[in-house]
Amino acid sequence: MNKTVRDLIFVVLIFGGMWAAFSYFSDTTEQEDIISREQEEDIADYFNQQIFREYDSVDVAITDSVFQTIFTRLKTGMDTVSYSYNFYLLRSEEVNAFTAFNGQLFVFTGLIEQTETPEELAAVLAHELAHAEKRHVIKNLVKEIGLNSLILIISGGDPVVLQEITRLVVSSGFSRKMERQADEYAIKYLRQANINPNRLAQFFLKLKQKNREVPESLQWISSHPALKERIEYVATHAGDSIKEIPIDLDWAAFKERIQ
Amino acid sequence: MTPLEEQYHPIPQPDEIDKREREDAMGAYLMMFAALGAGLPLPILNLVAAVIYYFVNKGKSLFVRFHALQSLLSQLPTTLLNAGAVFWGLRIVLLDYAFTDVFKGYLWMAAIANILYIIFSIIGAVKAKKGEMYYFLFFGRLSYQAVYKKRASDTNRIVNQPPKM
Repeated sequence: MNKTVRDLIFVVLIFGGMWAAFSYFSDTTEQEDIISREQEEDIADYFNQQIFREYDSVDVAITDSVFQTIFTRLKTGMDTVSYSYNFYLLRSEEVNAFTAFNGQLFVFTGLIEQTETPEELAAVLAHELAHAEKRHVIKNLVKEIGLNSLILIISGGDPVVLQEITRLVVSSGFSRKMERQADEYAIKYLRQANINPNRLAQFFLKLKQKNREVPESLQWISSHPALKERIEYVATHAGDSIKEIPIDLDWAAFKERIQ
Repeated sequence: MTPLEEQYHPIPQPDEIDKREREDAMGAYLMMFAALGAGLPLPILNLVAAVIYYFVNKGKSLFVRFHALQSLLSQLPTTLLNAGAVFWGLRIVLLDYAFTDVFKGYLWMAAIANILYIIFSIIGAVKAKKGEMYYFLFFGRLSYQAVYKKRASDTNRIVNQPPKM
């Protein structure tokens, strides 16, 4: 019996040791680091072409100053700014905004329609910026289709498959954990940029209300699961109310211009 | 304290084991490979197969029973490790848990355990076919004790007697 116990201890030690040793010596490459910045730039080029093939965009000359004003404010609240961000406004009824590669952010006119103040758009952008800063898009796609196929597909430029990728990115099917993280950082960005983080919850609420009336067109919301949960999360984590410094933009005039 | 030879049943020598017994004993190891392949997505099927094989064959002879038990016991930890890898992996894929170094180390360890298990099972099958005893580390001794140790029920056997005339 003694020898049996000795053998058991021996086996357990050997395998336990192996586990510990392999854990110690493996250096898991974080998924976000698999794709280099240069690769992501290439991917972004192909992707943008595809997007502009599928959607009409509002002239950048009209939109850029507005987006840059909001972004400049948000930047003051961001601890890292990993990309030189570009913002595009696409003509579509969908109430949607999404992050693509290499800091390319897209907003649909349908979403602008729903906002009443620039701060509300800022809240949505803060959420999308958080997705970009945390490299969720790349992580998600690599997880979804694998790194090699991603590079092959995008550089091969097969239109059908590219369309599918575009659909994946536009519908921004992030995992619940990623959405939670993006909300968490959006709150942080907004607070530090002196915008009330409850703007995000407010916008969600408004969309939830709208959602009942026109279900199909509200892509942004339907692809973001458990909205109620997120409203609660944002509302409870927004912290003490802060004195909001308004963003100096004539919002009604802007909405007029993009018609 | 009875001497060791009396506590245990005698071990059969290769020339005392007939062909049928050898093949049944060998089958205990080989059957696991088929079951292992079939049970891969949910590595529990092979365990069920092993338990069934053991109970079907344990009455045949101590030699067959020993090999069937050794095969069953030695695949318990590998099965558990594999099941752990599958559930841990599913959690990462479906519930978005982090792919950590600890999990990577676990996978390596489980892979090595599987390879060792396969190698020793092949050796065990070959030895069983030759009618030899073969003791795995730890599991061999455990199975030997479980199978060959004499029990009270073995010695106090009921002997039928004719009626008193």
